[in-house]
Amino acid sequence: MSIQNKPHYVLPASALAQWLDQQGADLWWNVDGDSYLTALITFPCPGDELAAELRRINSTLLVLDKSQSQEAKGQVIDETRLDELVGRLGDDVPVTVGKGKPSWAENRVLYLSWKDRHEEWLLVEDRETTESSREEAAAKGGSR
Amino acid sequence: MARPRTDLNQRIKYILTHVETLDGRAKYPLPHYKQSGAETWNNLAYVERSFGQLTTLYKAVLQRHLTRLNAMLLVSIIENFERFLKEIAAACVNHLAHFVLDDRFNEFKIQGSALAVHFGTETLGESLCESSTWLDCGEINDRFRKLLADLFEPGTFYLFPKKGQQQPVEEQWRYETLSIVWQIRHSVVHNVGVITQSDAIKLRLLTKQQIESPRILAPTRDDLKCLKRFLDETAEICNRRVGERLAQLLTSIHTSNPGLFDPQDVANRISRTFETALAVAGVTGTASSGGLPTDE
Repeated sequence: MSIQNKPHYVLPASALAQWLDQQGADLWWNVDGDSYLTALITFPCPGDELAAELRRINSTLLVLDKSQSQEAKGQVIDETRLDELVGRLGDDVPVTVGKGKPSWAENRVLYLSWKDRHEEWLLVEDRETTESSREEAAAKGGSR
Repeated sequence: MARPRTDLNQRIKYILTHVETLDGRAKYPLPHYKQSGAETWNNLAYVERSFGQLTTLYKAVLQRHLTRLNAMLLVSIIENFERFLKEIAAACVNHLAHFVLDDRFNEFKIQGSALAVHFGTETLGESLCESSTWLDCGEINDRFRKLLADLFEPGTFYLFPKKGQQQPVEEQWRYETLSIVWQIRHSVVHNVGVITQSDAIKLRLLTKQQIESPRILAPTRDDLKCLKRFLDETAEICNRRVGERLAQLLTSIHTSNPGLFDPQDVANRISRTFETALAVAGVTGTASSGGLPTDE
């Protein structure tokens, strides 16, 4: 069953780009499952790069409401609603006593598809690459 | 108890019926490379995440299996790059074949039987480039140098310039790094990950550091990440340089024989292949047809 048949909202790609900009240009993201975007950009990639590509594509996305809200009936939303639709990769990970969740568990995730394509895909935050990229930038800055 | 008899001949043939369709953009080298690279990386992330949720798994066993998986994905990442090189070379052949008469295609050795399967198709480039391996920087350089040489000239284009006079100087470091990558691939593919004594000697010469043998390669996630990043960057640079050199060559062919082709048409076609706006005889092509393809 595709996102089209599940509780979802309609989201202009430019709104997702706007949301990505708001998260910070140096935050890295990964896309899993979209053969279109993954052919255009090398992933993981920084948010500003992905935002620019989304603006260029200028098409329409469907975003899944994982809470299965009855309110989600394909209405058009903008970037201000995305925070409430974001999940965490570790949402379904059980935590054993004395052990925290794995490092990737806090990465944010959106479940998406393009309006006219059946492929469902994930937009996932990549904190690990963000951190290593920041460290690299700091090291370069320090060595000057 | 006797094992049940299975028609293994038939079962092996049956493997070929388990296939999926190829995305339309896979016909363009760089998008094809990027797609496959993303799939490989996401495979790893997915398996790590899924296994990471199984808190009952014994850590040492999990780590051993993940290391083995890393070695398999390392080969996938490198072979994806090899295919990319093959595809950009084939694209160059296809874009040049109608306009050149010199010996530039002699660099490719092909058996008659391999050629026969391409007969009647528009795949001259594939027929010349598919059967060779693209796993040696020197050989790769020779093929591209000849392929993209000015008419009746030996050529000066070096995809992976080596130390010395070869240009561009700032790209020379890739030759050594890529040679190490090819040798690592050799150990994983041909010796199931074992660095043999002869591998170690070659690696020692390439890396200028001590390499112990026999040892089994146990690549980490971070190793894969750096390898992918190096090859991703190299693929982008190769795509740009080969595209620009092809455009330059076609311009020079057009200058010597202006009636040979319509520069706008050729500029559009090579721009689409290399996913970048390339100019032939002063006319700039359109890189992409644009728009999101639908499932229909």
